[in-house]
Parts: sequence; structure tokens; C-alpha cells
Amino acid sequence: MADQKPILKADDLSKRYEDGVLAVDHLNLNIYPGEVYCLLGANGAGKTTTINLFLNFIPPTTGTCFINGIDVTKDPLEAKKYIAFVSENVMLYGNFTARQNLDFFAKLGGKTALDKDDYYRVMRRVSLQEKAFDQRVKNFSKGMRQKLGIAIAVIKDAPGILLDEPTSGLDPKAATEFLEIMAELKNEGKAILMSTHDIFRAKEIGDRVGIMREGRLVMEQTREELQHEDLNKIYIDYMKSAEQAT
Amino acid sequence: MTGTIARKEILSNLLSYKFYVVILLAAALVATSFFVMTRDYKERLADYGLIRPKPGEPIAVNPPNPLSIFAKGLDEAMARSFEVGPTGISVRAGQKSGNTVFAFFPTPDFLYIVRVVLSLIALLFGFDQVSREKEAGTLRQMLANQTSRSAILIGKWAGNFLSLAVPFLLVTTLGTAVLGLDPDIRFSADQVLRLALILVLTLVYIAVFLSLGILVSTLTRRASSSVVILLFIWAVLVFILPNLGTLVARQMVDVPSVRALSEKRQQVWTREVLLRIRGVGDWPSHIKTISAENDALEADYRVKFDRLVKLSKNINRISPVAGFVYAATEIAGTGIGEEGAFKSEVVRYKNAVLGKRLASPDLKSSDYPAFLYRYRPLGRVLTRGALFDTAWLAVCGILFFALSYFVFVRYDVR
Amino acid sequence: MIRTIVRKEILGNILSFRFVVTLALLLIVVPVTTFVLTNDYLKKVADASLRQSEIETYLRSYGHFNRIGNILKAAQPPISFNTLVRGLSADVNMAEFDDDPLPVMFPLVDLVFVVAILMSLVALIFAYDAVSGEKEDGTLKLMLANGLARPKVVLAKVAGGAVTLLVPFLMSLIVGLLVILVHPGVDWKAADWGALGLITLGTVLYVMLFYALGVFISARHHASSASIMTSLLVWVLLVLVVPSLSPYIASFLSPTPSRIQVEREAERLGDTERDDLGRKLEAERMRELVARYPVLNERLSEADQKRLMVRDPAARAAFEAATKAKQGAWDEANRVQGDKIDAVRRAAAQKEEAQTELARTISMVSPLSVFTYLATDLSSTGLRNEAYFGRISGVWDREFWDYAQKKIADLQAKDPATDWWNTAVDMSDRPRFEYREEAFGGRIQAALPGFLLLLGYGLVFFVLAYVSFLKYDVR
Repeated sequence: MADQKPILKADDLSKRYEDGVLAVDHLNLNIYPGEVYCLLGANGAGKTTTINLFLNFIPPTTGTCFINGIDVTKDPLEAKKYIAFVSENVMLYGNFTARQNLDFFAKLGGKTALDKDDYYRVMRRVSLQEKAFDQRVKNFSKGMRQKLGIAIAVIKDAPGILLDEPTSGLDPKAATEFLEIMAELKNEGKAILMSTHDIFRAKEIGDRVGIMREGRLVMEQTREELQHEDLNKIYIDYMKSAEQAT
Repeated sequence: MTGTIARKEILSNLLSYKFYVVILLAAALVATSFFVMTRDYKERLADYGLIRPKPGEPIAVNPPNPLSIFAKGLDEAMARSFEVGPTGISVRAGQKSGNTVFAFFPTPDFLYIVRVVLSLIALLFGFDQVSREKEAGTLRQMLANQTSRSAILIGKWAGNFLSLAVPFLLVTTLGTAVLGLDPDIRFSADQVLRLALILVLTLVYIAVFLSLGILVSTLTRRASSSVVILLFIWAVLVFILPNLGTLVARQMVDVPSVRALSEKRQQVWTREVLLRIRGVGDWPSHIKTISAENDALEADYRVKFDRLVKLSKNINRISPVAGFVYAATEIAGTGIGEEGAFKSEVVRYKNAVLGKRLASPDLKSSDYPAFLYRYRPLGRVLTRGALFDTAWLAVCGILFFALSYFVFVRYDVR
Repeated sequence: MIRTIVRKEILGNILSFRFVVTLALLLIVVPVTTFVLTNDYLKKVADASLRQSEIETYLRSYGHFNRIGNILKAAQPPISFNTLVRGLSADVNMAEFDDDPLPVMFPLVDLVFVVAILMSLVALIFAYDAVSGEKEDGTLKLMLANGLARPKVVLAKVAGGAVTLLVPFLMSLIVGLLVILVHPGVDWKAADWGALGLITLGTVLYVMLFYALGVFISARHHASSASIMTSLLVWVLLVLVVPSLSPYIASFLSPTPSRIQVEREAERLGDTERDDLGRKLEAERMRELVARYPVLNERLSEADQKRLMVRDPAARAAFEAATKAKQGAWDEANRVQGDKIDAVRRAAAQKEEAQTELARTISMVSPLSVFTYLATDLSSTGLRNEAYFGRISGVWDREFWDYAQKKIADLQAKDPATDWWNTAVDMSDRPRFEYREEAFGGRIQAALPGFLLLLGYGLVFFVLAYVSFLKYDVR
């Protein structure tokens, strides 16, 4: 895996906001095809900022984000061809049906030649109920919305996937279904970056886990390394020492 | 990309209840306006039938303009009948109605509906385009793809413009067709062309306000603050600026009041009559003097008035609404420029009549030349300002859109 | 409890973005408008006094009854309230060739306009999310969960909101008044201050009515984005559409002949029909006379007639009777037709009045019309003043007519052969037309129904808001 090129790469990435807050501090990340990388951290640790930097929603102060080897700030349109994004609160267009939303975003993602059956197939794959396919999204529950968000990511068939707090607010059944899809996508060779609070599921699905604190990546371990350690303990220890330090 | 987004906008509008309410409102207003103004026109046409001069009478009358159904402007003033007498020109038949409530409120013609209601509707279509999608998170979702910001903005603009323009054109064309079926209303080919131009102008006007709405949307974070700013901007542009400009111009240009003018005319007449009674000179020379001095007064007044109009136009034009009103009324033939040309023609007629009277003193009161006013040709109307105002409108629209693009490129979508 | 909520409402509003924008907008628009209107008023006053002195000069040189017809007319002078309110004293004048077209295209902005259009819009901008916004924020649930009674909440909201709204208006009004008072040459009397006070009261009612309407609409929606749309829809209809359509609807329901038609009819009655009638009557009477005096049957030339009259006293009696009869016939024809013309004109005037009344009534569906009539009537710039002016100028007309008759009689007493139509007369002792505003009591009387109507609207909307809020689903 190491000799493959990383799909998502953060190279000495830093972001300082106008009010002086250093949200991301010399971050280095490499995410390879076929792996799920879980980014853990408290609120304000820098996870969302990192994702926003990858999406070129804000410019970095120093350093670079690369998607598929393309500098995101230099050629954002080209770079974004290679990623799909699932946000924490998937809102979408309330008056449209699930299929209409999917159709719109698929076309934006470059997939203009798909038909109704393709959409139905993807929605089935993410375990969205059949009767919801042609229902207006404004009546969807959070779980249904999230599944549709993933469907949008899946249908783009991009090599990299960014997810921001995907399991927050999901009931256990939906969360499990989510993990199953992540495993499938990983096996298809997608590079997945997922920011989360959910230690339990991070341990289950993550090939590698990184902990961010005050903008810095303070720990990074593989699944094998984690098997021998109690992730909970490490996480809470790091959080506690952070409190003591401040 | 842009096409996908435009299509999405149209679909989104077609699925929203607000869209139908708004379109229905606009349609109802346009239909009502046509109905009401058509009746008004027909009544004035009937009156014109009554005040038409018999052949040979020295009376100047102009029939009401069918395009006044769309933009009434100054048509009622131009449809008065003027009699040429020794004192000069006097109004023979003027005011149509004694119902003073008419004077309190603006005329609900097509121009009014477009100027006031359609501008608001266009603004309301644009104002939450960006802020709403940002609040919903769909903006982020769009930008996580290889969609450029310009594609999003242009797609939104195009989709919403079509959503507005197509129903509006349908309703208006349908209404106009129904109008054309009425046997009492006859549009000449030239007038149909002018009408088409007014419709084009209306589309430009709608585009300007849509762009303004989108601009406001890019400048505010939340849809709720967009609404407030937008409504204030609309109120100022539509109601306050165009009217205040005229008042301000009056402070700076001195124009003799109407009464002062008529009193001066009366004085000239009296003076000459008394000279005649005392036996000085003969009647024709007095008439000539009166006419010459009246013309001098008129010319002086015209010069000052034109200066006032020019200044007030330039101040008013800060608001694109004023530019729209000027262009539409001039194209329809009911604007200030046309009225001025009409008055000049009446003065010319007066001089012709007086000349004839002086040349043959025993002229019967039925041998005078007839008065015919020919509206300024469309080309002249356009070069005399209508094209400028239309271009100014278009520039405003492009400016608003360019600004919104400039802002949107830097817009924080998080 | 209510006080706490009211305080919260007021504070919340004052700290809001829309309050700042409203304040800024009004503080600019009202003083600028009053400044421009004041200058315009002063110009008009100067012009009016210039014309007065010119008329005096004119009369000294040309005091002939023949010449003064168009000069000596009763004219409405500018009044000091014109610095705030324009009303019908606008300069649209269709009776002259040199009329000014600008006011037709761009009607002028005045205080009535600012209040009627802007303040009603502002009221809706403040009220549209009074209920639906708090529901969206979740604070409504919180308030009611703390045991606050719903009636108290809605009462406090309307009170707090209305109070907040009036602050920017009153501030800008004060600044506007300062602008007026700073100008020398503008003289405001006690009655003017009284009128202003009452108009301000009317504004309070007007603003509160729209605020209550906004709260009502807000309490019928669960999303603020929907309630603003409905509010704007209602506002457009009430403020922009109904008033403009009302006179046209009235003319449809209660048609009257146009003035041109009436004049044509009068002309016809006075010319052709009178001629026909005159000839007919003349023929009738001549038939009678011919039966009595056969000599009339003979067609004699005028010269022969004269000779016959000299010779034959019977013939003379006949011819004199004939002349008298013809005169009598034509007199009767004139009288009959004159009566007909009067009847036609009266009927038309009645119809016009009926249509105007109907238009007024229909327009009062819109609170904007009610407020406009109220403000213009109180400030002597509206319909009531038109009627009043018509009455007092009629009185002056009659006075002048009596004076003219006396002068003519004097002239003829001195020299019966005088051509009094063309002789110069010293008119320096003529009755002069002086316009004094109608007594304040009369104006208040005219405005009272308007006040009651505004109050009525406000109460109705408040009740609707109250009831809707009590049933509102806060989840």
C-alpha cells in the first residue's frame, strides 16, 4: 500500500484564521486507495477545518492539499473530480425527491449518462427504503438523509471520499448499515477520510486512526497497533493531558 | 454544468407553492390592468368622437393613443382639444372626470404593474438564492464537485430569469391578443413594434432586479437579513428616488409657474387690445405682436422647462426605475419628449391659423387648415433617449451581476 | 410578566439589524423630503406674492371689466403645511395649455407618502417573524414552557413591536420639523401643530394596525420564509393595488357621463334643440296671432311693414303683438332649454359625486387610503378642502359680482351712455379673496371617521392575531 500514490495528501498544512486562532498546525496526512482513515478529535480540534481545506472552501496559510496529486488551490475544479463529499447535516433540496436530488448531483459530478435504474440501484445499495425513492426529501429522517448523502457520493464513483461526522445522530441500525457500506467502498479501492467523535465505530472501521488536538496530529496508529491498546484510554488520556496543559 | 443548474432552478421553482402564488398574482394584476385601462381608453376615444373638430375649424385635437393602455403617461394631457383664438391657445375640452379620487393614487397601467410589482417579484426570486442554499448546505454540496462558482451563479440567474420571463411573456402576450380582438382597438404595425420593444424593455427591467436580488443574496449571510435590505432598497429605488429627483431639480432650475405664464399672456393681450381701441395701429399688426410675444414667452418657457426636465432626468436616472419609465413612455408615445413635440406642433398650428386669418381677414370660421399630429418615428424616439435609458438599464443589470460574481467568488460557503 | 416580555421585545428589536437600517433610512428620507418640500413651499410663496403685486399693477393700468375675467380668480395659496403634506395641491393643471407634465409622471413624495408606504412596509418587516421566527429559533417553546400565558405573550409582542417602530418614525419626524422651523419664512400656527399632533396619532394607529396584521400573518405560518411572502402579497394588494383600482371600479359600478359628454349635451340643448323649440313656439304663437290678425299673413317687406304701421293702428298692434310673441317664444325656448341644461348638469354633478363617494368608500378597504384622507383632510390639502374652497370662492365670486354691479351702476348714473364694458375703473376698493384654512373643528370632524376606521382595522387584526396565536402549534 505504501508504494501507491496517496489519493488524499496534506503536506505541512496550516491554517490560521483572521482572529489569530491556529486551527490546523503543520498537518501531514496521506490516505491511500483501499483504506479508511478516521480522524478523531474534540470540537474545535481542527477536523472540519481540515476537510474544508481539502475542499478549497478556505485557503491554507501554509502548506498544500493534494487530491490525486493535484494541488487543490491551483486547480480546484480538476481536483474535485476525484473526490466525493458527505457533510454532517445532509440537507439537500427539500422539494425534490430522493431521485431528483441524486440526479442533479450526479450530473454535477460528471455522470450525465445515467438513467432511473442506475439511481434506484445506488439507492438500494445504501439501504434507502424503496418507497422513499420518489418521496420529497423534506420529510426524510436524519438517517434517510445521510443515506442519500452517501448515495450521492457513491454514484460519483470518485477515488476519494470525504465524510464529516457521518454517524452523529444515527440510530444503531443505521450506523451499522453505514459501516457496511464503508467496508464495501474500501474494498472497491476508495480512499476514505472520515472525521468523527465516535471512538467505537472508528475502531471498527478505521484502517488507521489519527487524533487531532489543537490543530496538530498528536497520534496516528494502524488497526494492528490499536488491537493491543485500549483506544478509549488513549483518547481520554490525551484529552485529559490537554486539559492539564491548559 | 450551467445547464444542469439552470434546469434545477426551474424545476425547483415549478415545485414551490410560492412560485405559483406569485405568478398568479402577477397574471391577475396584468389582466385587471388591461381590463381597466382598456375601458378608460374606450371612454376617452368616445369623448374624442365628440370633440373632433368639424372640417375647417381652428381646433387642434389628437386622438387618444391605444398604447396608453400600457403606459398612460401624458396621454390624457395630449388628448385635450385646443382652440386657436386671438389670445393664443386655449384649452377647449380638458378634464375627463370629476372623480377626484383618481388624482390621489397612481394609474394602474401595465407600466405601473411592472414598475412596482414585477420588480418586487424579481427581487424576491433572487434574494435568497445564495443565502438559502448556504444555510441549507446544498451550496457546499454543489461546490464539492467540479462545478465552478461562475457556473452556479450564471445557472441560477438563467434558471430564475426563465422562470419569471416565460410566464410573464405568456400572460402579457395573451392579454394583448385578447385586446387585439376588440374591434374598437386598432394597433398599427408601428404600434405593434413599439409594444414588442416595450416588452423587451420589461424583460431587461426584470433582469436588472433579479441581478440586484442575487447581489443582495451574496452580500448577506442569512436570508432574513437579505429580506430587510432588499425591501428597503426596493422602496427607495421604486418610490423615493425617481420622485425626489424631480423635486431637487426644481430647486436648481427656475421655471415660471403655469399661472404666471397665463397671466403674462393675458397682459400682452390686454395691452394690445387697448392700444387698438385707442386707435393705434391696425388689428392684424396687433395680432402679429401678440403672437410674436406669446411665442417668445413660450420659447423662453420651453428652454427653461427643457433644462428642468434634463436635470431631473439625470438625477432620477440614479434609479433604474426612472430610466425604465422614461424609455417605456417615450416608446409608447406618451412621454415627456413626445408631449413637448406635440405642444410645439400645436404652436406651429396656431401660427399657421393666425397667418391664414391675417392673410384673408374675411375668412369664414370653417376654412382653417386641419390639425394632424404625427408621432415621432421610432428611430427618432430611440436616438432621443429611449435607447440610452434601455442601455443604462442593461448596464445596471450587468453591473449588479458582475458585482455579485465578484462577491460570490469570495463567498464563505462553510 | 408582560413588562418583561415587552422589554425583551423592545430590546430585541432595537438590537436588530433591521432596526438600524429602518432608523437610518427614515432619518435620511424624512428630513431630505421636508427640506426639499420646504424650499418648494417658500418658492411658491414668493411666486404667489409676486403674482399678487403684478395683479395690482395690472389692475391699475387695465381695470376694465372686460379684461379682468381671467386675472381676478380665486386661487388657493400655498399653506404652511405644504412643507410636510402635498395632498391635492399638486400642480397638475389641465385647464391651461402650458401645464406642467412632470408631476403626472413622477408624483411628489411627502410625509403622507413616506408614512403610508414606508412605515406600513417597515411594520410588516418587523412583524413577519414575530411568531414564526420564535418558533424556528425554539424560543417560543421555551417561553410557553415557563408558564407564560399565551394572551399575555401576544399582547406584549404587539405592544413592544409597535413601540419600537414608532421610535424611528418620531425621531425622523422631529428632525424633519427642525428642518422646517429653522427656515425663516415658514410660519406654523397653533392649528397646524394641532393638525400635526392628530396626524401623528393617526400614524400611530396606522403603524400598529399593520404590525398587528403582520403578527397575525406570522401566527398563520410555521416558516418565516413563507410568512414574509404572504405579508408582502397582502401589502402589495392593500397598499398598491386597491387604492389605484378603486376609482376605476367605482366608475364601472356607478358610471357617469364624462364632462365632455355633459358639455356636448348642454351645447346641443342650448343650440340646436333650442333653435328647434324656438321656431316651433314661434310658429305656434304666430298661428294664433294670424288667426286674430290676418294682416300678418301677407308677406310684406320691412319697408312696407313700416309704412303700414304708420297708416294703420290695427296693423301696428298686430305687428307689435307679433314681435312680442316672437320674443316671448324665444324667451320661453331659452328658459325651457336653460332649465333642461341645469337639470342635465345637476344630474351629472350628482352622479359624479356618487361615483366619487363610491370610489372613496371602496378605496377605504385599504388602510393607506384611510390614512391619506385623514392626513390630507386635517392639513387642508385634501378632498374636504377642495369642497371648502369651492364654497368660499363661490362666496367671493358673488361678493365681487355685487361689487361689480354697484360700480357699473355708479358709472351709468354718472353717464348713461358709458360703455361700461370697456371703461377703466378704479378697483382698489374691491373685495379681495382671502383664503383662510377651514376651522380646525371642521377638519377634525372630517377626519374622525378615518380615525375610527383605523382603530377598527387595528382591533380586528389584533383579534385575529390573538386568536391565531392561541391556536398556534409551537412544536
